[in-house]
Amino acid sequence: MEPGTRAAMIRSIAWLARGIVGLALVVAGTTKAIHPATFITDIWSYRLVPEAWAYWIAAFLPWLEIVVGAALITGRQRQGAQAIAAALLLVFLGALLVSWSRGLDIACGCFGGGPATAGATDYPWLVGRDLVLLACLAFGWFADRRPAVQAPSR
Amino acid sequence: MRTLREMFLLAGVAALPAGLAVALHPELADRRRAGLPDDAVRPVEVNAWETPVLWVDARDAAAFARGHIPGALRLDEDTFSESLGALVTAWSPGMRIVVYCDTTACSRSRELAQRLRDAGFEDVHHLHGGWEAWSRAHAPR
Repeated sequence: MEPGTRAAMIRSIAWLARGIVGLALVVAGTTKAIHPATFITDIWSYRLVPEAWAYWIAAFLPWLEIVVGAALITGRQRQGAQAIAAALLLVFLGALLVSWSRGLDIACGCFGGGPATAGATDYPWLVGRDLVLLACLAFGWFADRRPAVQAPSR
Repeated sequence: MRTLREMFLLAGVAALPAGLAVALHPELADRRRAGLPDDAVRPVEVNAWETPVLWVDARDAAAFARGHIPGALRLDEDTFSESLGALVTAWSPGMRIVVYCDTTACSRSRELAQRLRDAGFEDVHHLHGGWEAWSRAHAPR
């Protein structure tokens, strides 16, 4: 494959990978922004932050997800958006792993939703989904840092 | 440096609608005014209810023995399955369940309330301020 074609393909895949993460964040943020009260309950269920924090997290986080997701999709402020998205996904991953280790039956709150039914928390799926999104981000990040293809010298 | 600048910019952009949501979204505005989560109730609110209330004490046996709300059933996470039968017997349709623990600092009442909802009970609340708030509200004047 020509180096130029290969670079274009990598750029396209990186764009797609960032788009997937961006779309996931926009959808997740929108569902939570519509029903913040449900999200507050979901945050509590993790037992990681005090009640007062849950309120402010539920007020701010969905909008941050929407803004960052939109930035990833459009490519604006891309570096900052990738950094925030990676931080968010790492925090979600940490919270999931802590809850899993504690054996909590929780509603993940990732896409809004509501209270969990007993025994219904599918941690492997939730962690796996988070890792896939992180992998997409990492691909986009490294693709950005790939040196541009040099024109062959004659 | 550029990454950091963009991160602040994005966070700032997100803060604008978030601030508007705090002021205007009914779910957030109501909670901010009341300072309470949806399923939390204050003693004064419970006193005003006309529907019968089943009190559930989520504290340990020693605390329950020292004092509890009259008619309260003791039920904690550890003995949940064993004590559920007594709760089902005491409960009747139309009854509201209010779970309490010691103070605002304890989370057991909220967790137990959620567990009762998961078990199929409806209209389950937790008492904001717990036993301490109830005792203060019902102290002789």
